[in-house]
Amino acid sequence: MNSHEVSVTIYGALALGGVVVELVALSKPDRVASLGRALGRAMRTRTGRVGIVTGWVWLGLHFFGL
Amino acid sequence: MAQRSGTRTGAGSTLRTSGQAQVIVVILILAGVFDAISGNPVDALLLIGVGILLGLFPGDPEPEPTAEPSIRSRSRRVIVAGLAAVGFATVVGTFERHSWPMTAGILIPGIGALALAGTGAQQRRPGPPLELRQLLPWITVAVSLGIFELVNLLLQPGLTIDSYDHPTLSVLWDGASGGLGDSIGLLAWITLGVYLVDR
Repeated sequence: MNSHEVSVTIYGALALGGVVVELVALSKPDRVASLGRALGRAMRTRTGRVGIVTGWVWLGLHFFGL
Repeated sequence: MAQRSGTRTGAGSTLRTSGQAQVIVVILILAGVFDAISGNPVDALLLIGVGILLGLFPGDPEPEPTAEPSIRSRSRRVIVAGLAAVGFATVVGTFERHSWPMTAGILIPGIGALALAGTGAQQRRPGPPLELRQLLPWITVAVSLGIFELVNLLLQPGLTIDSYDHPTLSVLWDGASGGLGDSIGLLAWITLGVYLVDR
């Protein structure tokens, strides 16, 4: 396995980790917060909302824009 | 817009909110500086600009909304937003990646969403406060991803030179085919934005 394949595998494992965390959160909400709940709390203030939405705009620019 | 009920007051809550706001401002400006160094001037301008604006005009703690939109109203909004999202992805997906038309296609809905986030109130109840242990798995995943991205970025021949052996996520994405892949990616991106604005 070369360096590129190792990197892709690690990214895949991290994505899988996110899916597992969300599944655990849905089955045990008292132990783990779902992504929606975490975002809801983070976005309860104007600064939080603007910060999160800025992150979203940045994602679009980074992957598609200049 | 959702109605507001009583105010949430208290010096502790205000200080905590103010501290969190400062953390967000610092993160945005630092990320913008690193983006500028990495040769992404538009990304950097966005992050630093929003960071400065939030630093100059911090928001006050807000009361939580008391009423959420009805299921009927929400369904209608979901259908309209879904159709608009598919139209957006179909049209903007035809533009060349990393071009000015594509950048404009990202910035127009992006700035609109930022304006809504900056001027509007939260649409839904944020739910009860969360404890750190409930967030720890997400923090672990996010920090691990950030560290791995940073390691790969630093293993590149230069900050502005991509590496096949040590790809960042954007390098992997750039290696993927355009066309339909771009439209699908844009659909996922705009759907996430609609979800965030609706929070």
